[in-house]
Amino acid sequence: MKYLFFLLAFSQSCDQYPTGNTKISSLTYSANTRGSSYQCTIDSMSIKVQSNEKSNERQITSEDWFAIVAKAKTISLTNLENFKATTDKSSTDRARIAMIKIQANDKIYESTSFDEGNPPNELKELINLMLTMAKTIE
Amino acid sequence: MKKVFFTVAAMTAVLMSCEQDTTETSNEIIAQEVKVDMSDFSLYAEDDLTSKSTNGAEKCESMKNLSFRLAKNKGLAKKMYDIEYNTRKAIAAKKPTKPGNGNGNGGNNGGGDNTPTIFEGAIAIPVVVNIIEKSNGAVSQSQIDSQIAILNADFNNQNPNRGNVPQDFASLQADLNISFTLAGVNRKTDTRASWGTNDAMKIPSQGGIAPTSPSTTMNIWVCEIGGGILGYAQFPGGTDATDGVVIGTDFFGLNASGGIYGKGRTATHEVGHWLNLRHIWGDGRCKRDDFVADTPSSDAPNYNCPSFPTVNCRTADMTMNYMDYVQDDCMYMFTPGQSDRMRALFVSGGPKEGFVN
Repeated sequence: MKYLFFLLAFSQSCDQYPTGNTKISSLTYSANTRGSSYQCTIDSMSIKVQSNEKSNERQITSEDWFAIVAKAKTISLTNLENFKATTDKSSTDRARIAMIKIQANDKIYESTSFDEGNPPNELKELINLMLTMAKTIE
Repeated sequence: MKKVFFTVAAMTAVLMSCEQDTTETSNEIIAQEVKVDMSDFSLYAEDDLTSKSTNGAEKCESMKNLSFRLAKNKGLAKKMYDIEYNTRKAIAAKKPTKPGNGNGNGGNNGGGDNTPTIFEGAIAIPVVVNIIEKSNGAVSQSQIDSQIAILNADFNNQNPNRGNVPQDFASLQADLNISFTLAGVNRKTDTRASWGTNDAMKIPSQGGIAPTSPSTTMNIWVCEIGGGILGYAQFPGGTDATDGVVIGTDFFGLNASGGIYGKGRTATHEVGHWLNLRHIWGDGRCKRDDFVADTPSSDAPNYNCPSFPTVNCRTADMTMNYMDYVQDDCMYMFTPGQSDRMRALFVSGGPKEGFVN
């Protein structure tokens, strides 16, 4: 079953990116400003959410993990740092500074920073999926 | 850092604004013309802007290099661009006359042309505090008074922690000579838990309080902001209707409920933005500048209370600058370069000229 999902995710990504043998091991989304921090990290085993001093963690189902990986594989990791958002509210502190880091093939790919709530279009679906999962943690 | 070129070419055509095609060549700046490079200045709107500008910008020669992400509000873009241009020109013009002296005199004031200079002398800023509170008087008069006192300390290099400055930055602690006086307090009772960052607290039809005389008064709104935001500001060039700074109730003045952010430095940081200062890391990677020559480059904010040196982009960060993201007790300085940026706003024709006339 697990193997099947992997194949599925693998074949999907192959269509778009020839280097489809990317092995994603973890994803971290963060949003920080002066006096406030949020971080959500997902890997194949667990999802961990840290909001200011509060920290919660739970195990993740393989379905959830493959959904995340499938979504992440629609994104060109080598271009991650080039995606641009349309607002710059954090420059006057109107929004927390958000970014996403994806660890794949033992390399860490980082996006540029963007306003919380308005990521670059290319990252919207992945971040929404991560945050939806994060909300299920108590 | 900022690329400013000095040339002796006669026809440098320092375009003060797009509309003026005529070049001014007369005694603009003594001996040298100053060419201002704006290629690193990119603008976003303060509002959401989704599509790119398709026309308008092309018409404007001086905006050729500006990477616009502004569709809704070209007027704002133009204003912010012009303010930045005039600021850079003023600072560039100042440098050759007093090399190595951050607090020296600016360029010539005479001539009556459009040459921007850096405002000299004391600046007094009347402050109106607009409070939206859960019960009448919840924000006390002593909380208000403490905030005014803190602004006065910070903008006159009297921060109680300033002695902690590392040797490397000791010569860069600037006395801005800007004072603040309480000119009025407006209060409104509302139990809303979170006002957000879209200016609802400033708009009467959305339950807020309209600003008082924004061209001659600094407005501070105090309310519950929410979303983890301690306070926020509007850069010069924005609309008068929303001009000023917003501070979360717990982080306004001396306030125990603000914890390590309860010493009133959120307002100092936001007033820095209101006077055109960028975050000290330039809101981007190493090459993104804060447009201030005497602050080290950095690629990210610092939080909490970092020890010195905290090295990023191969130099020690000035983490104790008010425009970083450290906690209240760990920020205690502006630099002469930041002072120049702020003071450039107060010259005749500048966005804050109403405060000194």
